[in-house]
Amino acid sequence: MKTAFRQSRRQFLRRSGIALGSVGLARFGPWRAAASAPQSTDARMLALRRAVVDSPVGVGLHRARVFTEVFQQRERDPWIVRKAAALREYLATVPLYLREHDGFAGAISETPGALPLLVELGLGECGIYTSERPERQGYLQGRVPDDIRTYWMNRNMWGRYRTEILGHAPYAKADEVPRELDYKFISNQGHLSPRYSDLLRGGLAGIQAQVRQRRAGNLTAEQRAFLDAAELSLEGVAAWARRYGEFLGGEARRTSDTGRAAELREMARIAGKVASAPPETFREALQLIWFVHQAIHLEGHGYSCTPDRLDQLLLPFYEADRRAGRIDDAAVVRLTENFVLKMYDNSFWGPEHHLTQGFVVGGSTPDGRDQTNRLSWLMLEAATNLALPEPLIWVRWHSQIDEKFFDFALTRLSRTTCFPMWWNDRVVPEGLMALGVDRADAFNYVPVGCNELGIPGQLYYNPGAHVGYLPAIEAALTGGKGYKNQWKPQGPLPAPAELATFDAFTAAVGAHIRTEVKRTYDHSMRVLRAQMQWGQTPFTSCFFDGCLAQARDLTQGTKYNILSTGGIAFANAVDCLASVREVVYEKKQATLAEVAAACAANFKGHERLRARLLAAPKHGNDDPRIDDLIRLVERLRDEPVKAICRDPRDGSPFGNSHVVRSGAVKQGQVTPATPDGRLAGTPVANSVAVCAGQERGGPTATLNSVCKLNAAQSWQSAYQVNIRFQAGMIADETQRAKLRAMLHVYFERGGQELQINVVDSATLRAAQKNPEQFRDLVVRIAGFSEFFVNLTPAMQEEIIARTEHI
Amino acid sequence: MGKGTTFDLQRFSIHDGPGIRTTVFLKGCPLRCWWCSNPESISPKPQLSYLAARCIGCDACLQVCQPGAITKLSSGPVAIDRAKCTDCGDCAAVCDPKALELVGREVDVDAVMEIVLRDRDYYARSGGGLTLSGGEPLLQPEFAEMLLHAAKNHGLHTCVETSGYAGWEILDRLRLAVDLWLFDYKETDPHRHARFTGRERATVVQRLQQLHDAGAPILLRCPIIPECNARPDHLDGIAALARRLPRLHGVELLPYFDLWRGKLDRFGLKTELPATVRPPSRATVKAWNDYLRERGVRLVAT
Repeated sequence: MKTAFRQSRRQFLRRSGIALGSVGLARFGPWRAAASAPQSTDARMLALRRAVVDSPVGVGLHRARVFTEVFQQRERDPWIVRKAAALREYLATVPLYLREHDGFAGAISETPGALPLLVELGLGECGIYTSERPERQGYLQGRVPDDIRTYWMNRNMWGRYRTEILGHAPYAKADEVPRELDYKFISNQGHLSPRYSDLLRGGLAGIQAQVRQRRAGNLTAEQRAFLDAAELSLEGVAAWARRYGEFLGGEARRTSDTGRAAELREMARIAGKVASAPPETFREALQLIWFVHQAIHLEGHGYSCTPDRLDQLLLPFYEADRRAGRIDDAAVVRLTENFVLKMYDNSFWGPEHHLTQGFVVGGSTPDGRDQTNRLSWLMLEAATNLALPEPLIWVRWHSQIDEKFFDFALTRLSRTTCFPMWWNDRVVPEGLMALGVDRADAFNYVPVGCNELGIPGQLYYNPGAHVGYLPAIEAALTGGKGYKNQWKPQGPLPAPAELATFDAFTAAVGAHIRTEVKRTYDHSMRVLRAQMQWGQTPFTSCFFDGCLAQARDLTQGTKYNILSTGGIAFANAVDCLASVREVVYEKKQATLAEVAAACAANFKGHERLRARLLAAPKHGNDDPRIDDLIRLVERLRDEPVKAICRDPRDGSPFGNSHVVRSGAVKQGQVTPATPDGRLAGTPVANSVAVCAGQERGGPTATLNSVCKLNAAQSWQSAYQVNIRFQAGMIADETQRAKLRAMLHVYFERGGQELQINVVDSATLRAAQKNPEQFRDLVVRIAGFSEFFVNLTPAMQEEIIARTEHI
Repeated sequence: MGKGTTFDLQRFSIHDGPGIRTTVFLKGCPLRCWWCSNPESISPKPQLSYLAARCIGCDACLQVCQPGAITKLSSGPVAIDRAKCTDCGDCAAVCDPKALELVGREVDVDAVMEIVLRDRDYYARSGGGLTLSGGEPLLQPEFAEMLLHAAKNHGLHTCVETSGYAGWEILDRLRLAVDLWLFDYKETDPHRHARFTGRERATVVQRLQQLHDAGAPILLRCPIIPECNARPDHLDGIAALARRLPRLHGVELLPYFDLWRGKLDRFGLKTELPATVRPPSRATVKAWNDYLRERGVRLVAT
């Protein structure tokens, strides 16, 4: 095989077509670049950060090879056992390494910066793994060996889903496997937060004991298989930790640096200890959590995995260490910086595909008590010191939030330009409760991924249907055929000429949404069936409620199974309806057919109609004329979702979410012109707040508009709101107080989520011109963050176009 | 009654008084300051704004322009002959892309307050409220008074930004409805004052003294313009004035910025300000502030 997998992150970005802009003279002095420079006081962590950020990236094949061998050897065993045995074998054989200065052991693959392939799920590319098409942007290049591809083509989850669930003919050769697979076939679901409290209390041995105890009594064959698998994988992780102990001991003997040798010996001791025994110190606890967190990634849940609520979980360890004089605050900051670097180092999958791991601090109890503690401060400081795009860093706002902590968190924006991001304890738990979550559990929520929600060890989120707002409007405008006659009408959709009233028009939009919700729900449920048979994760299941108790895999269900619709471009949908209502039905300046023709032509020759569509009221400006349309779009989605979508396992109702990730740009590129006046190929709205360039009323108007969405009842699985301020807003204490006041009001009024970017357009322009000086500048995209210079030119433009508040 | 002419309303104003505010800009001003950042605020009448970049060449305006002030350029967009234009707004009414807009509308107090009150939660939380600016708000005293009383009736904090160039009886009448005066002080030297602003300094200083002596809370706001009033003797004058007004809330320097120049073309206006005038550097602004601080002036930033 060709191993063209090794290249530096920066080389990779260049070669994969990510233009870094032309190098010219910087217009600004270094103080601007310093606005987002890493700030650690620990030289080792800065060195480690530099090494990680400049690291080569590639694909590591050890996991693929081991899984292929073990699955071949154990063809008669239940799938879940084969998977666990393969994980154990991988952990027993994977070559170990440790970066210089790194204080935590455990990595995602056999070499720094390399990523494993989850061959038992699928082998496509989907922007993440391998690609044979050099023209694609942001893809790791290289070819997986043919024997591996051929073995899996009909045998992995994708292959079996095709043949056994969809009834398609098996592939004759591996080249027939499509290059683009749904991400659920290239990674396990992710979007979860395991609970680590039992782990910290009893260690890995404690979890193993729980599995053994569960073996008592009568078990079905399936239950036995699950427990076998759980035990195998737990053994594997314990053995892996022990191997690290030995490896680190060897490293300690090899180094000539006596200080580093002592640290390596201590790391070796800790790895050996937490292989079975419970941790007793802050550092031991973090190391154990890292082993388990990484093993969960290796098992398959790489996406969007939030490691519980560390500031809450680790407080007793911190306090005990402080009492015993074992640790000081500087050490907590350094260890957390190291932990955060580990998360970033083992997450990179391409410039638009970090794994969206996250890190949350703060929050309130169900009775409103502030849970911010000393660790919340220290961990927030550490996590934001390093100016990394990942992990995402979140703070839970609540009305009793310590004002000093609130202010401190805002000041961190000037270091990271986008972290922390904010969640509202008034709204999020209410939404979860609307889906049947108990109050006490709901207040233990954590964000997972871009902006989805989890509860450590209790909630498993899963996208379960899709809402295509803009295609539905296109369908209503064209009798279901599409602007270019590209669709076969799904069911009877009336011709535009028959839609005599605005209500008739919106009913047609609703009918198309309903058809699509049904179609995508059916699809998602077929995928869920595949996941339940071939996508189990017995190790991860050990950290979720009910899995051990009922001896069943997480895919069979945990305490709360929240399936949700996802959707994109909600704000465009509202604007489109506002434009159609005003131009077609109120002012009668054009017919639906004329609007459709104008969109099909990307408004070429229809400039005046476009101007009229653009002149209609726009969402995001606190305009009462379109409040009803916000509710209408929510209703057009909620009614069919309520009628059609239920969790097949336990009958739970669906939630709704607005997920865009890089979709605002990517989706925009493939979206034709829309009746709100948006041109074809330009970005769609990057959040539920306002479409790019349409904000005229300032941030309070935008936030008031967002508060008109029914977050708790209609967006239980979360939306996202982006807003951008100039750096001066954060630097100046008086202005920051105003920002705090504004956020208090937004959250008290029911805003669910908020992400603030603090960087001005001039800086972004300078970064385009001179990327090397701004290589640490992080910006929030939509569901994720990235170094600005790593973005495609189109995405850079989209970021700059977002309204900036002075 | 209850109507006035405004040319803008800015929500989330964070530089015109304490907290988060909504600033209502009233049209019309007796002064002609060279550096006026709202040149469209000077005339009390509506004025035509034209942004050629928005013009889509649909020619709708050509059909309706009675005085024939609009001509079509070969490059696509139209051009306005300001000498013929009467600011009637007929063209703006048919301009779909809003390349042509009539700036300055007659609005009633209730309509303004409806928008102002949308942000009342933000005012309450941040200690903000309503600011009247302009133009010179005192040029529409009844309208200003009604807005201020409406705001006070809703419990809002109120500011008025003024040049002070109005009859004392107007200031005296508004006084009880104003929580903080943002009083602009532009030039110490009387001759230069007349040259830069078109009005005599004595009235301004007299009103300032009267307002102060009546016990009104005042923040003195001083625009500092390079090549005009950015001089040590004017800074000394500010310090001297501040000493004479012991109850002054404080002094705020407003360093020149030049984002307004683009407006001249939009409205077909001219300025006396030399094109060489550029915004001061951060260091210069700091030096001005330090200079005043050393002379015992209490500097306030809003």
